[in-house]
Amino acid sequence: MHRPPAGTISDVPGPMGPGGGRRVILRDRVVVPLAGALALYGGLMLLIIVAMTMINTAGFGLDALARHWGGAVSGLSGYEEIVALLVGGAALSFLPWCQVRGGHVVVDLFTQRLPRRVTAAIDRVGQGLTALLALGLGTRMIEGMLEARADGVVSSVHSWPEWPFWVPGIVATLAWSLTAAVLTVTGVDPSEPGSTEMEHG
Amino acid sequence: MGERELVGLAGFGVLVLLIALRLPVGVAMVLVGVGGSWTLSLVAPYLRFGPYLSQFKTLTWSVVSSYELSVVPLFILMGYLAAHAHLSRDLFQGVNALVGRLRGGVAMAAVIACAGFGAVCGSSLATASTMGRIALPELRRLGYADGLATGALAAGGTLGILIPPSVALVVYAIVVEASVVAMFQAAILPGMIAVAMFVGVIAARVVLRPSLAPPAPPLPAAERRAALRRLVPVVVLFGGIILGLGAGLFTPTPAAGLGVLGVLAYGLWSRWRHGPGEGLGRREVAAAARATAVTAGMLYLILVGAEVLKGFFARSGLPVALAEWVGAVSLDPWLALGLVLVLLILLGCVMESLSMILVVVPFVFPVLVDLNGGELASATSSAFGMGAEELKIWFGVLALIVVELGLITPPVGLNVFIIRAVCPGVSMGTIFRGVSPFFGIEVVRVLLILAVPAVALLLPRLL
Amino acid sequence: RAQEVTLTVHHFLSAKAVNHARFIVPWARRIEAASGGRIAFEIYPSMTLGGAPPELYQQARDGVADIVWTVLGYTPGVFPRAEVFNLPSVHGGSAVVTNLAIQDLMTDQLAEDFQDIHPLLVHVHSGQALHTVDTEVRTIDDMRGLKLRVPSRSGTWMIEAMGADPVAMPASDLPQALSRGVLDGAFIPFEVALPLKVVDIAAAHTELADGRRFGTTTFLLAMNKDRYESLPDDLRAIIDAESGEALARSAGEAWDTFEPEVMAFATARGNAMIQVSAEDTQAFLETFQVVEDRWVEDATAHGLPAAALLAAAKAAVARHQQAEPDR
Ligand code: NA
Ligand code: NA
Repeated sequence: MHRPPAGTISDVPGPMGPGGGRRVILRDRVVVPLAGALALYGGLMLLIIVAMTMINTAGFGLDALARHWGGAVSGLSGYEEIVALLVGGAALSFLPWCQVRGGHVVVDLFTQRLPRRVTAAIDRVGQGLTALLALGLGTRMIEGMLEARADGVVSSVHSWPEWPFWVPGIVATLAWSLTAAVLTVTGVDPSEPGSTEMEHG
Repeated sequence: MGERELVGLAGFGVLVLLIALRLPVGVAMVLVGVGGSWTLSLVAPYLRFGPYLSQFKTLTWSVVSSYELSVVPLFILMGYLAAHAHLSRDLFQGVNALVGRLRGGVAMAAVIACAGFGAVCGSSLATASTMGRIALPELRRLGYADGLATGALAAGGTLGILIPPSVALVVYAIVVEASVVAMFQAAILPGMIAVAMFVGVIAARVVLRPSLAPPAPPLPAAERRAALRRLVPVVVLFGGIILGLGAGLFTPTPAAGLGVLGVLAYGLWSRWRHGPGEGLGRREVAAAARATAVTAGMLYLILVGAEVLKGFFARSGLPVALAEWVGAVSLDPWLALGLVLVLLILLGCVMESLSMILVVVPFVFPVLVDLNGGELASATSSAFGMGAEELKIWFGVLALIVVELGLITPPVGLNVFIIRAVCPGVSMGTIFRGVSPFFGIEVVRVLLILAVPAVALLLPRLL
Repeated sequence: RAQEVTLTVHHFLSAKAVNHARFIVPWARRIEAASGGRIAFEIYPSMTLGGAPPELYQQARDGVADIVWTVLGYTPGVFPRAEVFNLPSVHGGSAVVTNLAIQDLMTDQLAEDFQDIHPLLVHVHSGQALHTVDTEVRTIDDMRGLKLRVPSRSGTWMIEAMGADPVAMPASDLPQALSRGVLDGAFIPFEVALPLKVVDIAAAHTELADGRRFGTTTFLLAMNKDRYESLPDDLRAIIDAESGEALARSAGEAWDTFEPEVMAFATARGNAMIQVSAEDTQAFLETFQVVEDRWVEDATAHGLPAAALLAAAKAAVARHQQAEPDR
């Protein structure tokens, strides 16, 4: 089945390699705080979307009232396109923290009888592949962003240039790659800081 | 079958292999999609690999910056905020104050609370874990049998997928291009039937063996009143969202946005009123945001993987070949539908529900449409007695139920794992035995919806 | 002779859409036949090769697919010149006429928009009609305060100029939004109103006098440049004979003949089919002028010879309208 989500069941720590001290510092002082900050950034973007929803809905609600007296109130113009532009950056900002918390779905039905050493090694291969994948996606996205800028792609209601909205997403994707790369070397920390309660896939 | 289709089939095999080797599912999907497309470019040189790779310049961004999908992280955030604001606890205690005195009533309260919380939270695992943490200690304190208590919670966790809103429902609707709101409407009745059936299972078991559930002592009147009072905001918030969506007053994203707003406002008010320990403060909001990052990050990686995989399978020609093959052997439509549902249950043992929807549905749904009589089939001329639009909705409800059954089926079911973690003293076998009557009644529910499609289609037709 | 070339075609509509069944498939079959089987097509509808519709243009440019069919408005800002044909003051009510006009400008005024790909055909559909749920729009005053779905960038301006509220939303949400009163109406062609069930929800459909529409949408059928240039001369000639001007008329006819079929269907359903009177059309045309002015201002600010382009486009449409008085 799937690997038990981190913190809820049997949190399987990656073994700390000998001489891993400095690398562990890189993980605990750089990668984990960075991933945590990006997760909060993503949450903040969601809250901005919530605020916009409130304004938009208030507009529609007032409009329904105003119509009784023949008036009209408008909602937030371009609500949908702003939501799409913001949620893109938010979604990618979630990936590093998901990596730190081991949140990506893994099926361990067939490997659960294997010695822990073997599964830990497999998990590191998974982390390494994730790092490469994220690096590939991130660098290609940079190309895509430069192209969108050169083409002059704008949003359809406000005519805003789209490429600046890509930037946080690219930063997050590259941070995701870094996170996975560092975790490939250090393994996952069993005593991961932050609320383990209610974090699961 | 040509070389290209064989590459497609081999891709399927490699995907299952990589997943079985505990590679993250989303990563395996991307690897197979890219590797498979490279292989195809060798077999069919006009499917050039260099240009293929250039789609990754925009693919990631176009998957994540989707307005239609924006409802997903918002509902996840709302669920975690509700849990941190103790709305899940208030829900259980409130329902318990209403039905707890009945024989087996506390377990029934747990199932109903699972349905209510699962409704707004949209994630089965989060529901099982959250409600398990709240209800299990109470059930054990009162001396409920372990099997009944844990089985009810593991099964109760699966209710969330069907009771709107639900992440899987949104994703299914996007995959088959159905109206998300119509899907929500279709899921309401089957979801309520499931709650009634689960409560019925508990009642039947308790009647047969009263020792499973000792009578609960009456709550002190003041405590009971307080519990009922705290139930009010939960009912208003959750009920408002479900009704607003069900009646089509809101489209999904605004509904989710307002849901987050409502929970946040209530949580802040509760903190201001009762002080630390209740409601939401900065720390709880941050924790909810991080929890959202884990769940949503997992979903988005799978969505990216599915997009890559989709392009590979299309290039392999496998979906077209499958449809042609089914047409050629003139399979009985009902048999085909049955096979698909059994396949989904079996795959549920090895795959996660969202990736199953994303990988399997695009293959089988067009085949079902053809078997039904094509895109333009009318209710009278079609095999299943409904047009293509209704087929989307009906099949979606069926598929989502069986996909979610994978969470409680042996040999391994994730909800069972989660409950075990909350309740370490209980053996896995006990939980699986406890969950089996619920599994049985779920099969009855699937058969009911198969026999009477109106169970799913009535509300979308009326509303 | 044996098959030499397989070309992949990618687009965003389902296999049951008019565009697929009446335009792309017949076009591909004609080329296959003309080449004696040396060219074969593999058509992928519904974005099955991956990505979202706004990416189609890039997919053609990069060669992810050899040929794509896309809407220019999916990537606002990328085709600033060709956007002129979306304007309600430029397009009348006939896809054939506007298609032919577009071809006149392809080699010169519009060329820079399409230099990164090989354009096979730039064309339009018959134009947006207004579909309303509760109101019947007969004069511009009926438009005040209506919440209408945005068809395009210039469509937003048009809705604002008419005193209505533009609301952007995915087409898939349209039926729901209309039946729940989130929207009062939408500007879409009848051809799209049918599959989206807007014909079933709406009570009235409005056109202007003489069947004039509220602007249109410009589409692009494009081939990857390198792929096109890599073909042998004789195969290129076969494709050329089925692109540009030669294709513009048959594509326009496919759309222009389908619209009346849907309109007849809507009328048979009991919907009101409104054609605004000639006098009342005047007030709408004034809002078209506002849109036009705004477009010229915006395009000029982006360094385009907007006024000249607009004049050329209008002249070409007028010329072909005169040559085809029945359309
Ligand atoms: Na739900
Ligand atoms: Na299972």
